[in-house]
Amino acid sequence: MSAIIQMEHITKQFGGLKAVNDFCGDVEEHSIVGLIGPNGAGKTTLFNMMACTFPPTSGKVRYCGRDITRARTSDMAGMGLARTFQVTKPFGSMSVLDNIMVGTFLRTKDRKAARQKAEDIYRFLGISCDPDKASCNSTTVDRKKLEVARALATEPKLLLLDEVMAGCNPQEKLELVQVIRKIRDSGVTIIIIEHDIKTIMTLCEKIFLLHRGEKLVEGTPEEVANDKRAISAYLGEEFSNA
Amino acid sequence: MKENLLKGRLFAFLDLALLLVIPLPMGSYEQDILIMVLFYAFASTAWNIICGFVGTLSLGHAVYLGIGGYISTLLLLNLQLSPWVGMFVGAAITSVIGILIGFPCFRLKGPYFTLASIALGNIVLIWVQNNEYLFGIDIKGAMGLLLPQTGNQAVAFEFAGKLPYYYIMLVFLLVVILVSRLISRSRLGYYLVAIRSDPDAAESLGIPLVRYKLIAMAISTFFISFAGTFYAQYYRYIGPDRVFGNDLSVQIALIALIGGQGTILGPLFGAILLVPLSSFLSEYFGGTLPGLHLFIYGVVMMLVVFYMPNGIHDYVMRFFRWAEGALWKRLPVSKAASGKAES
Amino acid sequence: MLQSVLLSIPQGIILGGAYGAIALGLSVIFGVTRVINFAHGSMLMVSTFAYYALYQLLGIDPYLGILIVTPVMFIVGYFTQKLLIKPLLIRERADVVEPTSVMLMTIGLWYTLDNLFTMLFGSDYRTMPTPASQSYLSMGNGAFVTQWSKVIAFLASFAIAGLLAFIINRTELGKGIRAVSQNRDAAALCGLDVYKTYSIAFGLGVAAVAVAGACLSQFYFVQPQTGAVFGTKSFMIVVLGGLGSIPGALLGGIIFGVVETVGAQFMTASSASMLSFILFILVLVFRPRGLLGRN
Repeated sequence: MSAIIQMEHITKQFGGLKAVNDFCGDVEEHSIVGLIGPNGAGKTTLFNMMACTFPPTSGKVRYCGRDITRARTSDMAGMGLARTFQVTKPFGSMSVLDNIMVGTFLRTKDRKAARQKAEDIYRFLGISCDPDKASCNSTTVDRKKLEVARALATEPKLLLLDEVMAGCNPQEKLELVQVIRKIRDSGVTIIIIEHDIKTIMTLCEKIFLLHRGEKLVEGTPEEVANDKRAISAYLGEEFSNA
Repeated sequence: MKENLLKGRLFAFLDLALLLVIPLPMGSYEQDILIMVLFYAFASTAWNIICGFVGTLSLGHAVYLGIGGYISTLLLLNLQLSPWVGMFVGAAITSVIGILIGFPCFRLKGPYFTLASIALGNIVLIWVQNNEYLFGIDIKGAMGLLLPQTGNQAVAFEFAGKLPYYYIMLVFLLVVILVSRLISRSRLGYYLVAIRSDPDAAESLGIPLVRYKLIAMAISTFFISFAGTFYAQYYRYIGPDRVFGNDLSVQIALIALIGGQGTILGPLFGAILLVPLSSFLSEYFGGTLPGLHLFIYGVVMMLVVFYMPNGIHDYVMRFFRWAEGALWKRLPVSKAASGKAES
Repeated sequence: MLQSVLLSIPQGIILGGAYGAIALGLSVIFGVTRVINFAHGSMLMVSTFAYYALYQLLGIDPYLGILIVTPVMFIVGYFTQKLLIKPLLIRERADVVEPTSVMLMTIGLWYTLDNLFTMLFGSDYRTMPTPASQSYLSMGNGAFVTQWSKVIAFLASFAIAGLLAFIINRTELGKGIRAVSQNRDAAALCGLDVYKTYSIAFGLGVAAVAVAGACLSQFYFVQPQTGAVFGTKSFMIVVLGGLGSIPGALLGGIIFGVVETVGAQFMTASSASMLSFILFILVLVFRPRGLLGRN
């Protein structure tokens, strides 16, 4: 299985601050990979560079073998890379279904087809709020699902989920875990930023632990849980031998 | 369901019939007002395509109206080209200019874009007022261009009475409303609203922001230039003070905003509300109270922003639904329709 | 030719100072509240009418009139923000829609005020034959002549700038203003009444433009349409100078004044006014944050 995305010595400097320092990592196709670390560790910054929101100060990003380091943000979805945002950004004046349609319109110009695909995704993710009502009035988990649905609508090969479970209760988190597994099973690679360690451990095959912009640990959930550096920097004792 | 469909079609037909018939019993003065209502509705609907859907506030859009009018008029005066053709030439050129101007301007954030549009409008206004020649063509500066009055010449877009102008403008308006509707239901429309709502999210879904704004700009300026040609043909005169002026730009914007930004029929409602009102007021008080109609625009603007930020569109539509419902019950047709639905 | 061009430079600087005086208020308002006040020129115009009325009816010299008009205009500005703009800001915080309604409100206010005064007073140009406008400063044996009122306006711009800078940088109130303009939410969390600070900043801005109005009314016409001209120009000056920067507003004003006056040596005066707009567009395209603006 080949790497769908490769980060080579990625560094991002904002003025005097090194938000990300010499990060190297590969993500295999069809895997679910977790990105964890304390706040301010540089996780979202890494996502932003993967999604080409801004370029790294140095280093290369390779996606499906192609160098996308300086690519345009709006080209990424067409290449099969989609992302969600930490703070959800629904298109407030549109209905839930219309929101998803903005995503499906990427792959089809026809309104009927776009609508049909949007309805399919709506059902696939199990969104419960009224599809024709304005999107800003839904529950937290529905808003999160909508965010994911919209990104999924672009038919990505790689999906970046940024704290998609933030603000959800345990029941809702379980729902989202099922959804994420479903998405992976349909052939999408997923990289997920999350603070809920338990969920990450159960969901992911590989985990990157970021600390102060640097990759502290990389490995399977067991390896990371038992890594002394990981434990002292972030995890604490309770996850070892998990 | 079938009943609703029938009801909708019937009332659309009735509304259209009303529009077709309304100028016939009226005198010249009233017809002029009706034409102006359609004129502003047309211009504002075109404005809405870029500004309503996308949310960028252009207060210098009259420039494109003026350019279109000047081009078709100059072609008429110098090459005897029929304005019917000149209109399209003007629209094409204006469209290109719109794209060229839009390209650097769309990088600018909200208020800066608005200020830039005002500045550009002023640059064109002052330039035309102070210059007699453009590329060697006589444009007569501040005096403006006079169109010859030769009587009724349909081929030359010239008519003796007001009625033909009314129907021509009506066709223009229906076309631009139709285009507006098509856009709102198409990928372009969805993308424009997305860009307005949240540009970052839009980009992440693969929408190239500048490209779509430029497409909307091209369409908007293409149509608004027709209004310029119409203006010249109707008034038999086109001059910089009016067509490149700040007031016209602001009026076009305000009508769309008061009517309902981003809606399809909003500008029409805005024009129906404001144009007759300001015309009558100007007529009766214009001598003693200059600037009254613009004062009214300003006050209405403030009231609408305060109390009806989405414009009067939703209230008007609700009223129409109610009126249509009430009328529908009284029509014998409805009994037949509900009878059919049951069996 | 060269001599007239060279002489026009100090004329431009003086005129530019006056422009800067007018733009200062807008710089404060925008720097603090981030509100684009399209009615800024209208406020200027209203103040000039106030001075005119005081002079014609009570014989009060406009410079004295400042003591009366400025506090009144402060209150006008304060309540404009409080009654007209604050409700919109509050409403917009809750909405997902773009915050254009404040801009639209000020546009409505601009049209309302300008045309209200047009209706009431007509479009006639009025002038005030005050001592300052009648006397001339002559230098270089008559080579350089200008009205004292213009010179005073130039000096006044520095005075206003200095006063505003003092208030903002050295008073308790100013600290609040600076806090709010840097980070609205953090300031609120520290217990600052953000909207009240906005209202005060607005009041200060309008008061500043009222002082400028006293100066302007003595070398320019008192006429309802002057508002629009200076309002638009003030925006361009503020953008050139850098939003929220007081020295920037002065510098921007002077640059505009020089460009216009020197330009008028080469083309008609009305064409020269086009230069300001072109300069503005260039600034927007190449250096949108202006000369002295912060981020």
